[in-house]
Amino acid sequence: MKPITEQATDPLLFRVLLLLYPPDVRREFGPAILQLLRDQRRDLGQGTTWGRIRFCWTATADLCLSALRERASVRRDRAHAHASPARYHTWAAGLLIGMAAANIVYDVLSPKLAMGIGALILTALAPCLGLLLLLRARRLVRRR
Amino acid sequence: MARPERPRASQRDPRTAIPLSEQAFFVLLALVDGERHGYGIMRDVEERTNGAMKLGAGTLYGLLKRLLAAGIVDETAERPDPELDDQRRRYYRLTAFGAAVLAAETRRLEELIRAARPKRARIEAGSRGLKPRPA
Repeated sequence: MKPITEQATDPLLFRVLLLLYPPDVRREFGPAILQLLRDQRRDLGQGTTWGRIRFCWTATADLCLSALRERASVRRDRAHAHASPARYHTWAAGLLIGMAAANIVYDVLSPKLAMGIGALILTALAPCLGLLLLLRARRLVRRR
Repeated sequence: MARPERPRASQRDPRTAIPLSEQAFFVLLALVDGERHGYGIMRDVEERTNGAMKLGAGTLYGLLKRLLAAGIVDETAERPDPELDDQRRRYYRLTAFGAAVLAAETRRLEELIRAARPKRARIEAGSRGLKPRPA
């Protein structure tokens, strides 16, 4: 590796483009990315204007695309982290409790004098099952 | 109840990390000879592919981030002489698990080529628009 005799200044454009990256990635790899671009520019030296324009263009396009990729990756990771079993337990619990509540409201408002035995069991069981699922969901969340 | 510990990279089956992308494969090939910094990796990939593959800075560090997370490459703490190199450069090396992944991927690619080789003449004739000979 050649000794470094001069350090080119970071073009403002690349520093600004780094802002497109998620903060964690920018903090971790931002200086290294700038250093690499600096190395590339140094090797390009006093090349033609067209060469410098082409370098700026390809670096800009690459930084924009990879920033988008990193953002998508962070979003994917976050969605994956939230897709815990607790989430499904909570949904199921809500559904069961909602069904029971709807059943009770229907029974109270309907002119029927006596509830069927099936409806009675369902009405009693649904909130119990719902509560059990909620408790399990809370335990799962605490364990994570 | 204690949660089971995630297996360390060295205990993992390298086949779980393959297939590698073409870019990741060339980055790992660049690290076979020893540790390198980002620009060194970029230059090696370009030379090895005769300029056919040019990695941008963002693409390269995105790739390195994923390889670091998978335990395939590792950042080295040692730095060369500050007079000869810039301290802001970060050096990467292949881990033992990374070497196993690269070996597994190379074997996989060799098997693909071995499967395709007997049919090569027919494949090339087909790609030139010639009618392939019946087997």
